Amino acid sequence: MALTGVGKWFAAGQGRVEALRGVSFSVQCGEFVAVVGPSGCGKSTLLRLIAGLLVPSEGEVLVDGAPPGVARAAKRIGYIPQESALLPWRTVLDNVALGLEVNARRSRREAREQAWVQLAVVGLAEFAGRYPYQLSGGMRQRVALARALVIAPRLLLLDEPFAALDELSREAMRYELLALWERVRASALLVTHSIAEAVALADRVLVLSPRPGRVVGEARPELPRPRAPEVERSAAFLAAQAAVRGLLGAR
Amino acid sequence: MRRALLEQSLPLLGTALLALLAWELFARLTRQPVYLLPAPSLVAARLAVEVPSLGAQALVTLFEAAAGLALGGSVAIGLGIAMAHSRVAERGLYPLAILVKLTPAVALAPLLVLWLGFGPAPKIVVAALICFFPFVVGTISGLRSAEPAVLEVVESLGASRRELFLRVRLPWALPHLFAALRVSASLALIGAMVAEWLGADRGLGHVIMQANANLDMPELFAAVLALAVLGSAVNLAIGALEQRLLHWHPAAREPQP
Repeated sequence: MALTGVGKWFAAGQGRVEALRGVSFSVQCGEFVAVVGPSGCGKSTLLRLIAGLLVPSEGEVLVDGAPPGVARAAKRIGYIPQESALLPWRTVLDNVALGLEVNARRSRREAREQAWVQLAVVGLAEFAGRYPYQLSGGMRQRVALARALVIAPRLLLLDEPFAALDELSREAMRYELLALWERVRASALLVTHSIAEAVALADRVLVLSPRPGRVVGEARPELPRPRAPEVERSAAFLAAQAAVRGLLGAR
Repeated sequence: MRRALLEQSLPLLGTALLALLAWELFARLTRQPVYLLPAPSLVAARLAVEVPSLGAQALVTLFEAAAGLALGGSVAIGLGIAMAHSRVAERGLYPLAILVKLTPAVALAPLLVLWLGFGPAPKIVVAALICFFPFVVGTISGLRSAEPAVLEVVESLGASRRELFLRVRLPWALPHLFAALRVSASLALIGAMVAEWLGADRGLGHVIMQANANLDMPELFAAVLALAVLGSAVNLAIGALEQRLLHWHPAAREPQP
């Protein structure tokens, strides 16, 4: 996945609001990249451009060497939004099956069987028949994760996926996500405003400036995989965190 | 459960009985003529005899109201879908929808009877006109209420516009459509009945007009009561359907007023 000189602006009244300017970076196959930046720096816009939900005003976005629309139509993109964004009238199982049903001629039954397996992987098999309103925020987010993973995506896009959770579930979810990601070996792009989250999860952390967002630097946490919560007490973790913080302050 | 229901409805039963008793005493002690105010016992006696015939008349009115609801509702949903998708359609149609709302359908009833005759047609049209606006508003606001994040996720899976509509927008509009149904159903009954006043040979509205002309007040009260029972039954049925279909919606998990 690669961005070259991507800029995006929105019309606002008379003038325009520039969200991103000259953003270029790439994510290698199987790599986990995090993008950190202050709120309102266009992080979510970045993900929408890559998912093909928005079209860049300038520059080029390529996913697997093709425009995002192609990857989207081929269901290679697993999108995980900030709020779980589940369908309230579908059970947990059917919400996961939705990933398979949309844009495919697959029967509900077939989709359910596969969704069932995926639910077991995220540890929610016993909640298959519940409705989203009966779940905690962390469980809902795991359902959203399962819905994205069930299509076996080549690229995972995570838009502050744990921002709506409480501190404890947020930390637990980090390592659950890592374990799941290591199973599927997809590329992953995470946007977040949490430095700790970015460093704990990613191979590379890109730092974005305030609006209009530009990439101002990059840190590479030298942490071995697979990672466990203990990693957050290591010297390398703290060093990487300090490096990211330095980049955020030094624009 | 059953016991709790009984305990809950006891106060209501008490007040109803007291009111009936007061009415009965008033009518008897002040010797009200039957053509002005019949005692409830007289109404009850008449009702006991006429349940089958009143039931048949109630079914006529119910059919007219339901047909009107189906007609007005489906046209409104169709136009609402167009308006929710296109600003041009909204600008062209919404003012007309408001015009329909502001014109009292009941005031058009004499004209409709003139045009469409004494059969069920004018009643159905009056009921349809009454149901039209709530469904237009419910469809537009319902289709637009879908959560943007959900639309984005489904779109990121490569959903077509049609899929987005069928899988996300339309189910999301359902609670709004039920709100429209709740408002419309009782109004449709009233509309059908008023249209019956103006010219009909059957239906509860016809029964009421006849009773009024004959100064047969027990009959009139019995018909009014039948209309009230019909309205409550329709309301209960809608509530039950809503509980079944919308159990996931926050509003459905709280008791309805």
